[in-house]
Amino acid sequence: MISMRSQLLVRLSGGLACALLVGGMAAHLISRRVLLAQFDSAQTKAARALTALVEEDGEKLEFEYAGEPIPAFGSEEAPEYFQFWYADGRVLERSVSLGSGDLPKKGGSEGEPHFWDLSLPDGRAGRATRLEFAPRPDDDDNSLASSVIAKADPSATGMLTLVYARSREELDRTLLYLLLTLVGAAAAILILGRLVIRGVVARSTEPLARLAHGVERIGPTDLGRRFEMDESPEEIAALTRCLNNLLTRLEAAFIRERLFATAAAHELRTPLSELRTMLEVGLKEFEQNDLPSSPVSYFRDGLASTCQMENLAETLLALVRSESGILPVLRTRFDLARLVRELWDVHSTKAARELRTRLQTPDCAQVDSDRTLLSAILSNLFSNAVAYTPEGGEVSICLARVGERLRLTVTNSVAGLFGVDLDHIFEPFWRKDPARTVGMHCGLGLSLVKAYATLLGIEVRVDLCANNRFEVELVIPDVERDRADTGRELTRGNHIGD
Amino acid sequence: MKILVVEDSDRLAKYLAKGLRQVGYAVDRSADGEDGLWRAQSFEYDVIVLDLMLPKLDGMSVLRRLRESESRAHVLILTAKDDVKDRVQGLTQGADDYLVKPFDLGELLARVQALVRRRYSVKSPLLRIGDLTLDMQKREVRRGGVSIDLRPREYALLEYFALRPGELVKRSEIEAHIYDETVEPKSNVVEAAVYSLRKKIDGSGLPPLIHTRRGMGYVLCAAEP
Repeated sequence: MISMRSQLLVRLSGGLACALLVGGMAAHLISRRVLLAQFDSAQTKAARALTALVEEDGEKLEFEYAGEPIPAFGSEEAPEYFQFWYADGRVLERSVSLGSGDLPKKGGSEGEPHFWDLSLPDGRAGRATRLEFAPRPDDDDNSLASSVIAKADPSATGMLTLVYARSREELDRTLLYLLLTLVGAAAAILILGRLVIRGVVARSTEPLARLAHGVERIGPTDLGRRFEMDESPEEIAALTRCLNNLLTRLEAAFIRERLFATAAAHELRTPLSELRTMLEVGLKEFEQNDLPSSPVSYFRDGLASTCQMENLAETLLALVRSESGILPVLRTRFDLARLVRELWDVHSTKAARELRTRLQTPDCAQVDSDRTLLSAILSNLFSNAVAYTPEGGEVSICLARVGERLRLTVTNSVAGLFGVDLDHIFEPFWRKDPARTVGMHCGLGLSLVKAYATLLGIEVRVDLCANNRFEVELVIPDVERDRADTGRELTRGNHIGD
Repeated sequence: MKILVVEDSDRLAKYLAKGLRQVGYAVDRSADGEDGLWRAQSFEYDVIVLDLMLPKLDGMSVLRRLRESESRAHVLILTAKDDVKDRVQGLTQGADDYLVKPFDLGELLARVQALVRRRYSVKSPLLRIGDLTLDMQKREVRRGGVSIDLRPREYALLEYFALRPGELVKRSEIEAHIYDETVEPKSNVVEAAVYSLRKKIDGSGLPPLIHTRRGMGYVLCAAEP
């Protein structure tokens, strides 16, 4: 995995190195240019000074130090060189240091000095300057120092050429020192910069590291922990805020799951206790009497407890499957009115108490839906209505078309249910009476209704109407409207079938 | 000893009562909190096995009202609630013991027996009256080292006598503590039971341990008081 800190360090160091390289090169080039210009300027001055030594005296040209050694050009160590030419190419004068040799004479324009690098006669690296000039007339005819250096010649009055050369080793040394200084400074800056960058990056990413450390320490038992945002930079604060929000959601989900698991375990405890106790008692009875006095009752009760656990397990499984979206929905076209009547027949006859019932459905109500899931929804609603309606109460079921939809309402009398209870009505294992004594009901029926309805796109609403009547309304979409909708109403009392 | 089981699960209550009866306890049952409270306040029980999540009136309210009415019955809470706070609340509200479902019947019986001993201020499960020893743990009775085979009801009667050695035990007390709602007390049921018990422990020419106080009741002691 790539470290953000390493990446920042490498990139910033790379950037700094590039900047130093470009800056150093620019500095070196500029310095080299300036130094070379200064060198050339000094060389030009020296060359011009030499040209001043050539004078035109009438028809003759005179070089003031002809035949005399000039110190700079005569020394054995690091001598300088010059050579004058007439315009016709004849040599007017050359420095003693040249001996009988010549300096190279490269072309150049009049008045403008021309420079080039060359290898000096003594082997050193040098730089030469060439000047085209007209000799100045001698204003001192009586000068004793002057001498005739050339015989009268018409060509001597033309332009003269001077090539002046001297060693450039000092310049090269200076340029080398400059380059080394620049490289050294760049390296030092790079090392120092890297240290500074490392420190800055470490300090900048420290809140992130702190956050990561904090996140790492969070376990399922301390999801209530939240990260401080007071001193965090804005970017980290945003991340912290997101993490805190995530923790809040996670905590809520964990609590919900824990409550769900606890409630599920709770629901299993009583039937498990029943089974265990009846087995222990039966075993003891068997040990005492060779055979339990009424073995059939053990089997019957054991079966009932097992069925209760099986019902709970299947409902839980169905709920988990539907909520996780792995429950397949197989839509077919069927008559919902007929299904309602069939299921109600089953549940109304199961009721062991005196109830007034009312069923109203159209003759036919075609619907595109999953018959199995819709049957489970209806069974749960009917079973709940029968189980929770107090003696003498009424259960009313009404299926009707409303526009393109079907509307099914299941209404039953209830005792002790209040408006605030409706907020919890779809919560798994919620029951108004905490005692687990209502037959096979384990408090998952309406949760399952809600989950299945969501899968089928059915709207579910609950309401508490006047006279303590609890109403569940289902709005079922995609109804075929071209069917006859002659309704029929059946009023039934005391478990009378269709 | 008489036990009241207040439990809304009919099957659990049925087999719990059966298990308790197997070892000689008299057992009454209530299926909801209101009935349980009424019974606990109307009759004398040695131990009440109380569920918490009950219809009509929850177990904690039953317990609170029992303690407010200064009931001396020992209460064992038997519930599916296993949180520490539930246990703490139950015990601080006045319960004597707390057992979580599902439970081992042997453990429940041992706890009930411990509560019975506490009710009669007896610490050891081994009771001695003269040469008679009664092991409450093993439910064994010996006289002079000879084991005596007793039926559960006979054992319960002897245990009740042995928990109150030397005390006059009235006939009404025997009816209240040894017989439950499944037995219709007749005028001679106690006498018949005492006769049967006496025959087994005082037989073979041994000095009698159960002494009759005519018109008053019975006394269990080694020598004639």
